[in-house]
Amino acid sequence: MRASGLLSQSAGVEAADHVCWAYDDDAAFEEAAVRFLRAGLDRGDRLMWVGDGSAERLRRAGGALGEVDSLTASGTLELVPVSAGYPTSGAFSPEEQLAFYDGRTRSARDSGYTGLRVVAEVTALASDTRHSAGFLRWEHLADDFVASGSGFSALCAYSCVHAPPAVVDDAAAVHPVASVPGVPPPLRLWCEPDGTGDRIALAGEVDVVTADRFVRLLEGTHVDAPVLTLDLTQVTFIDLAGARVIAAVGRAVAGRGGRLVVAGASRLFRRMWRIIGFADVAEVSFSEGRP
Amino acid sequence: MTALAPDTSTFRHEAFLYRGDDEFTDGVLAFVREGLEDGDAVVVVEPADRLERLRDLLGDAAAEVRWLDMHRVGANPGRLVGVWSTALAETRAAGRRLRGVGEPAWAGRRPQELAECYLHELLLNRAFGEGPGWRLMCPYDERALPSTALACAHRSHPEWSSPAARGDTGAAVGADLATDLATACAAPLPPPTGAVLRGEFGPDDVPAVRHTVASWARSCRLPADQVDLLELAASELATNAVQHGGGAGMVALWAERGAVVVQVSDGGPGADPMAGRRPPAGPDDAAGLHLLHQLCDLLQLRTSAAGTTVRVTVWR
Repeated sequence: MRASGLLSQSAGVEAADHVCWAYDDDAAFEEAAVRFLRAGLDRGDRLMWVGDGSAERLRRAGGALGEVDSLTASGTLELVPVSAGYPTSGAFSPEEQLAFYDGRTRSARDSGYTGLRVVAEVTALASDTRHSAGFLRWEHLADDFVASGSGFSALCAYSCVHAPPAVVDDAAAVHPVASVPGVPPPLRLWCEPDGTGDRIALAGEVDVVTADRFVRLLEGTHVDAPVLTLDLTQVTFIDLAGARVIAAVGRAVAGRGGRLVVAGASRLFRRMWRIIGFADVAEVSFSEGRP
Repeated sequence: MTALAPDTSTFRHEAFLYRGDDEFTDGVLAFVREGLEDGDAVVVVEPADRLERLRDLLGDAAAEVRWLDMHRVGANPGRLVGVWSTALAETRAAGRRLRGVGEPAWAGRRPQELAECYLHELLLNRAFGEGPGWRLMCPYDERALPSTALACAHRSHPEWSSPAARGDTGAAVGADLATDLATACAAPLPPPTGAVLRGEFGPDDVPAVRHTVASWARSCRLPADQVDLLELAASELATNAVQHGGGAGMVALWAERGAVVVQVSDGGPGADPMAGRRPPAGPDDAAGLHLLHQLCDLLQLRTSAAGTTVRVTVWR
């Protein structure tokens, strides 16, 4: 199981492998980023920070991580200004992003590191409306890449001062661990590999308000294994609108010759499923009832 | 009992007013046997203890009858139109005629439940009035039921009869059935007698409504299953108010003797009182009320041009 949950402070960020850090307090962001990278350094990861002013931030942090020059010289740390990390014009390609980080992660492991740990300031990129669909897809691809055991882990930083709230909400919704000032995102989903096929974990509340987002987030995922498992264990509420989305997913998966398995569904959800007769229109099997 | 010429093309909905167990079993068994002789598919929906007795008395022929426990399928009377709709569809698919016995208003039911039985009986006339034809006998216990429930039996059934020995028969009393139905659907529900928590909500407040209801239900020390159920009910009802009831509404919560109640009202254009009583036709059909009719111990809907109120109750 991957670390998942909502963080209200930087403690706990070390254990996460894919974090959305949405912030309006720059000092708290810096603390979280430093904690995240320090844990990577301790376990033998190569480190990368995509963002401006990162060298000063690390020097302020002190300790082994503060030795910016020697870490950079030895190849353990790479500091990338925002302008170099992402395209400032032209199309944003999720696949190119993935290829880039895949290559860097492989190269880190080939050099004897346990993996690649990245802090990335993505506010400008995510806020660019030309990229919004591609960006969400990139976050899904990245999450899948993290979950696959690649050795890649990332903290994605979003400044709430600059990014529109809808962008922050969407971003927080596709990370297993998120820290968001104010109201937490009502719904999140992420990849949770289980060896038998694609598995997507869902957390939070699915209702008429979040059902559209649920559909949009699911569309961004690239599930194509014969068996797709949707894990509802961390769902605290789901209504008819949510069940309808799952039935539609079941139909779509069956349409391409696959099968949808719903894990961790509550008793009430299963009763709802039976009463509405979704079983007749979507072939979905239930496994692993809630403990 | 069949003083009228047997008319197989219309829905015959008849109250059977009995006194005591023997009159009950004699009358019901005569009706059942007549149906079996005619080759009808017979479905009997009675409280479990009565089912046992009827089965024993019917002997071998009991195997030809479908028996359903009214305590279960009719716990919330709002489920029964769906039960009969399904039975009718299955019977017709098998090329047979349906004959049913159903006693939703059994003696000892709570006043709120009896009120819903009355509305249900009136709605049956509308639900099946257009055909295809079938027969439904609704036994009413003249000795044990309150007089109001008996008056409602007379008002809601186009025909009524008493056991052959007394030989009384008659037609519905009161205004015509359609008017009675309209009146019953619009009649306000009795107001709560104790403390009530009330709140207004708007289009963005559906999550807040269910969070409030869930936390209040927990504070009533309801078991987790019932808390989850009321949370879901509040969410679906608030969603309906937002989508179909003018975009806003009022939620009210209270506890009364043996019950916890959640009520959602809106000022919208009014709803179809039949809404949710039949199973949804397809996966995209509106289904919130149908779901709640199946899940809740009691669902009461009152509607008029001035708005709609839905009250769900769980017993404890």
